Amino acid sequence: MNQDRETLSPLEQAIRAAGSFVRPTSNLRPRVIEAAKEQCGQQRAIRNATCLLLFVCLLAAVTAPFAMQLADQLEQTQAASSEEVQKQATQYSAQAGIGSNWGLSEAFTRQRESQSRRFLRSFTSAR
Amino acid sequence: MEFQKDIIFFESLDKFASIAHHKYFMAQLESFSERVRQAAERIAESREAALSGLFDLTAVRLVRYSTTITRNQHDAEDALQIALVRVASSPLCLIRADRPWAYLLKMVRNESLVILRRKKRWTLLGNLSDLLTQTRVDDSPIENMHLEVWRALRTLPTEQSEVVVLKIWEELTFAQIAELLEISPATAASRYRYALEKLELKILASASASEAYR
Repeated sequence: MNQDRETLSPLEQAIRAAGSFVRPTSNLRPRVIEAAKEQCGQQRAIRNATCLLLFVCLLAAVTAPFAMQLADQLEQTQAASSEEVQKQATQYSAQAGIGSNWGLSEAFTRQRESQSRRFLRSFTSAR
Repeated sequence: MEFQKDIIFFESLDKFASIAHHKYFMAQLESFSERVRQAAERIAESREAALSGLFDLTAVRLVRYSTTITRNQHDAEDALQIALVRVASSPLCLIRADRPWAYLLKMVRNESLVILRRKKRWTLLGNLSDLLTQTRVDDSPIENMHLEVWRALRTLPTEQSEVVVLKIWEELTFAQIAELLEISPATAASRYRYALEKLELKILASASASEAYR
């Protein structure tokens, strides 16, 4: 970057010489590097957090339909509790005027029919 | 007749030398710009750890340029810090620039102007106490000359002093200065001419005043 000094006037030469007169303070270099490290560290942290958030959102978006389907299937194949069967048996025996044993038998028969229908529905929807 | 031939010969020789000098000078400038680009590429590869390379390459020049805008070295160093941190966080802007050195000068200029606008401080034009200088003990007359130049530069309007700095210290052409400052080359040239006229008067006046004092 040495411009030919002969092409410069004495004034321009004096100005040119004064250019090397000033120098940066000694602590500027570490200060700049430290500030850059801090800034880049913050940027990296923000970028990592954003990536993590995006990954979680993507994972949720991908797994949500499967999870819903699984929950649905669990619900469909789940057997009724003994209290529910007992309640139904009492209800049938009272309605039809039959004994509690026949009521219980009727409740189980209907429960099995309902279970098989739900299973068939979930099987066809999965296919 | 012979004499006329000689004149034509020397004129063409002079023109040839001028073109050769211009080409050499442009090559030097391109080479420095390329070094700035390489430093930015190293930053892109190894992030802030490589910033010291760019700092060592450009800090002295950027500080003195920014000092002429902010008229205060501490503010100039703040501007430089902001600009270099910006480069460290996104070095691609410098790598992709057509002229990385001019781009970096513009970044520092913008930061200097932001600081200047924000601070709006009243500065003593003749006060150079903020400058950190480097001169040998036996260089006192030279130091005085340099101080006179810096003092005179600070009395100029910023738009004129930065043209002088870019032309003489950064060795940019008027076309490049015009591009950097977003003005026409003719405006850059006229600002330079006015600035030199003022500087000559100021430096001569201060020299004659110091002679009279003695």
